[in-house]
Amino acid sequence: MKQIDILIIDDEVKFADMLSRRLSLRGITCRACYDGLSGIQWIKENPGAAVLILLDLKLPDLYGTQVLAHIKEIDPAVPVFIITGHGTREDEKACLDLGAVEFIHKPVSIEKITTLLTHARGEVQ
Amino acid sequence: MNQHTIDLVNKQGLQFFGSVNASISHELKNIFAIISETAGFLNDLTQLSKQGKKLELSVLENCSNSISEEIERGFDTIRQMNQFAHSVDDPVKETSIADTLALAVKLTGFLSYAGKAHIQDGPANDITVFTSPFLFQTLVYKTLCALYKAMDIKDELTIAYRQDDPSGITLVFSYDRSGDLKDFPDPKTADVADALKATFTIKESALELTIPRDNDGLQAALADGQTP
Repeated sequence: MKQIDILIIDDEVKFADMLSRRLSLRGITCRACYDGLSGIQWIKENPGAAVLILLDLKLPDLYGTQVLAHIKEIDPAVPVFIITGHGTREDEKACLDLGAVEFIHKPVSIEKITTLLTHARGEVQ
Repeated sequence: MNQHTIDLVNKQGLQFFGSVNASISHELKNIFAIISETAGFLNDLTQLSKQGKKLELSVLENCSNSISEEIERGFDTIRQMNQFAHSVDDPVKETSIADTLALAVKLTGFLSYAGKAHIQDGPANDITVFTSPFLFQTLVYKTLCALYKAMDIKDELTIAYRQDDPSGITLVFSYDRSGDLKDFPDPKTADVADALKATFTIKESALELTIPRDNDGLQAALADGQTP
């Protein structure tokens, strides 16, 4: 099992890859999954391996809320942040009810994400 | 079309306009997020270069191409937004079935729960209906939304249209697995359909929407100043 800092589940491949590269330059280890099932599979194979998860709401194979529910079943403690360009207030409420920490609209600054990681690391400790 | 229906449609029209604009803005957020990250990455590389790290030209080229692609995606989205905005220019007019379907598929594609939809090629000559382009767009959009919600996100929708007789056009939304459509059309969608004199037929593997070729009642109502 490989420990990482952030798991990014987002079908916007360019966004996920570019964010990963920028975070890597800051010494933050990331893994990007481009659909819901591969994200769930990675978590199943690596339970507790990610400090936090950034989850998009619009995915090609599952609804983001479905992915969130699966994540919370497998690894209830991992902080999940919804990071999406889409999403209504109803989506936000559903995600928060399912245990998401925060519902963040894109675009989001790299500083915001590094702050989330800092806080998540603090919670873990 | 009575005043009650006109009032309902007016209110719905505003809500629909708002919800479509919200979904377009969501798509633009995604585009800007990619451009923002790419620009940020270029800035990161510039800072590293100042510290003596070699800049790879291929990385710069990839970033430049990515930004160009996203800008083109943004223009495409704006074109759809513009096309949608102009659907209120004429209260009633000859309205292309193909154009209405294409725009509805693109606009609903921005929604978080949207599945995939494929429009089959229609007849060589474009089929039109004389109706309210905005309300017709509303009806097709709401139909697609209901179908996406009823279907599994992985299922694909196939859309075709035909002119069975001179008086009406039928749009056929086919699916492999029928979802839960027992509450369709909901009252708001039914009101729009009523205004357009459109009817729904739900079958095991398809939902059919039939709209009259001409809608004299709608034209008369609009001529009286009762703008939908």
